[in-house]
Amino acid sequence: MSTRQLKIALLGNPNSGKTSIFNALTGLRYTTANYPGVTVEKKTGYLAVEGAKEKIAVLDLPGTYSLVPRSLDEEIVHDILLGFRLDTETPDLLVIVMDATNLERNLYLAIQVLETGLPAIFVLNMWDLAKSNGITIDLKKLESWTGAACVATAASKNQGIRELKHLINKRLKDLSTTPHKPIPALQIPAVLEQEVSEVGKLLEPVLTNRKEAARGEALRLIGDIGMSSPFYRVETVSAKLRKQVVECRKRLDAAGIEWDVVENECRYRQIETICRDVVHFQTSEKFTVSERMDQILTHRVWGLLFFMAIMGVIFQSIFTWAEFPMKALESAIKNLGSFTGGILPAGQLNSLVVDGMIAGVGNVVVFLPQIFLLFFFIALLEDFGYMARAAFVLDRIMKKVGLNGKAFLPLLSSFACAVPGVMATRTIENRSDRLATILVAPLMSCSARLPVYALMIGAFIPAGRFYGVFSYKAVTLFSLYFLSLLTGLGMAALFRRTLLKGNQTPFIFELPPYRLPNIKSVLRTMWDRGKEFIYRAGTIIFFISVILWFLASYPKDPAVEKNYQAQRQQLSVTLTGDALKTELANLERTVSGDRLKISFAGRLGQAIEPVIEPLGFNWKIGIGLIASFAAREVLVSTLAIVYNIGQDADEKNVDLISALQAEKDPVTGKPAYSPLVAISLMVFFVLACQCMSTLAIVRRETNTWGWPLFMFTYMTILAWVGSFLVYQGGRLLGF
Amino acid sequence: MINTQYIALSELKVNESGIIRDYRSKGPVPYRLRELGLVRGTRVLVKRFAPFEDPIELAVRGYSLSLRKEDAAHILVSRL
Repeated sequence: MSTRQLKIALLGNPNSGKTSIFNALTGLRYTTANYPGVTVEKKTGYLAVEGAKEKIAVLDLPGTYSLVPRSLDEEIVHDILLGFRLDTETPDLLVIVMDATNLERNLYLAIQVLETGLPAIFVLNMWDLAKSNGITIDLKKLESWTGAACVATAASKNQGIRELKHLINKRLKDLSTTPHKPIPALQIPAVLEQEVSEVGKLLEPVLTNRKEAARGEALRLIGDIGMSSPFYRVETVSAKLRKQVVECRKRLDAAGIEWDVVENECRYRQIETICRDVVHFQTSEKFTVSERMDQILTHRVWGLLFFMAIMGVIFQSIFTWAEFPMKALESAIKNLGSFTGGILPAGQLNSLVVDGMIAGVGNVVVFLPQIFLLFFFIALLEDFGYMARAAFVLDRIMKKVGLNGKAFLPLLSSFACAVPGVMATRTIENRSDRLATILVAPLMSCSARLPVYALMIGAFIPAGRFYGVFSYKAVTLFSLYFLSLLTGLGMAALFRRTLLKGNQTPFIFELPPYRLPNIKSVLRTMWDRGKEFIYRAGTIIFFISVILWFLASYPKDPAVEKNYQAQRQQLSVTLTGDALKTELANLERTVSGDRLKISFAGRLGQAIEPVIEPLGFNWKIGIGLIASFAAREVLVSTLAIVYNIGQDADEKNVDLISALQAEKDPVTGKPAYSPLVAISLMVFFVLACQCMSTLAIVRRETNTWGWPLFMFTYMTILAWVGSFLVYQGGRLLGF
Repeated sequence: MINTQYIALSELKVNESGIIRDYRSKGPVPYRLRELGLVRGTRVLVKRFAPFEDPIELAVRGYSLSLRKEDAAHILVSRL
């Protein structure tokens, strides 16, 4: 025997419980990465067997319905099984996971895969559910029909896992002595058989070590009406293949054979023959639990109410539960900053590490509790089976703006934070739908905008009430959220009608039975996704933080620095104790304000004043806009520095609010900020893409800088136009 | 052959079932639906409509499938 490491791969339909089987086989010890060049998750682990000498690698392939790929996920599976992907070796043994309650449809893929000639085991999962639904499956007979050894499992209850591991080991050991028993060939018309073998010959140079897969593949290439199979893109054979297939289709048309239907129908005939012998139903009239839940959860009234209620609960808990860890993280980052500041020698390196790296990355880290909580709820609802119901209930609404039901959740998550929102778009198969959803996700009013709203509303929106009921402040806040939703959906509709017209892929999805979520795997999923954000976006965020620090710290004016040193000296001579401390702090605040104003960021803020003047903003806000690119809430601390209040001020700081209210226009002498300016600024923040984390994650999810740049550009233009209309319109109306 | 007695699947009411007879169009959508088991001769049951009458939930081959009315309109069935 060779010492080469043995590899098995799990595959199956979506919702077959494949992930639960994978978790059970690997004991939740696995790593996730992406397949090179695409954002399809690649999960690998090792089979957890007590006392085993050699390690067996387990690969979890994406869920798929057939070997005719219709999405990136399905293409990966297709390519790996046919030995067509250079980065992933063909597995030694396949573990095909099937939903036992639903054997017919699951067998469709399973038999296609068996026909490729790879040795395989059938796992009939959800055996418990099938039993309670009155379904019995004769595993011995199924094995003799298909040639694949079968095992029954209920992964959610950890039943049958030991037997499965045993079977895997046994099969891997006797692979060389007991070769795979091939499944009887699919019966197809003789004329077609002839054409299939002709097309199959063309495939042989590409299927170098998987020649037995040629027949099935040729049959599917003939049936693939849009010629979207990866084989049509292989340069060496593409032209010949296309020509051959087009001609053979003509001959088949003449012979009266529906070449696009024939595999589907012949295979289901084959499956029905097998199932008549293997599956026995004991029809029961009673509704299953899932059925009864669906009568409420997808009901035209209760379904919608339930959806709103569950989202309300999620948002409430995100904001209340996340508050404490966020506060804790904030002070931990501050402490880390002052601790590091204390051990590093004073100077530029100190400032780079403390104000640049720690503070910059800290701005993002603070949001991790919210991001993790959102990932938790998304994974929980997915595991429970509710996601498909939410998509079902909301599809009609989303269709109006050219999106589909699956876009609702990512957009809703984005009201807390666009990062998990953008990552949640992975469930949307259609590329155009997904891109449109990603592009508008950051328009949803996320929680980082709240400090900005709070500051502006607190300082400038009067305390009165409309009709004595609705407070001006509350109405303003509500309108901002409404504006964000309206613009988001409007832009989605616009993108789908112009830039992302794309192909209209159908919105077809399964509504799987509800299951009790497995809390361990939910937590693991949350952790995986959170970690992915930290790793993948982390480096980009780090570099942008350093750049922003540089812009805010350089160049330095020697005169200012000298003056600062001189004043410090003087204070320490004339004052002592607390009085000295206070005065030094005052001096520090004034100097940091001065430093910012002469820095690149400060100059940039002043330079863009002509551009932002029509929006009612002066250069001080300009500096804030530049700095808040790191994260929106940085506007508050930046304004505090500009107004010499110190960077520790938050949105409720009285000094900052009164400084803003006292600011005078240098020309007219009137207050520089009116309620109108405040509204204009808030509208700008609703619409602008002031968030490096979002841009970093969009870069990761789309694999190009083009989309994040486009996103930044269109949102900035949108923000400018929006603020311009508000400010100039407001002035025309006499505000 | 399209028989005039056949109706579009989208015309079935809740709790009505039909036998799939044919597709009105060719292309990736009918292909995927057939892969999911909706071939000619298959029995389907309309379980419910979503809150705004679209999409439709079908019971087919022991599982539930959601599809939009516009796609269901391409499937011809005979009412049972």
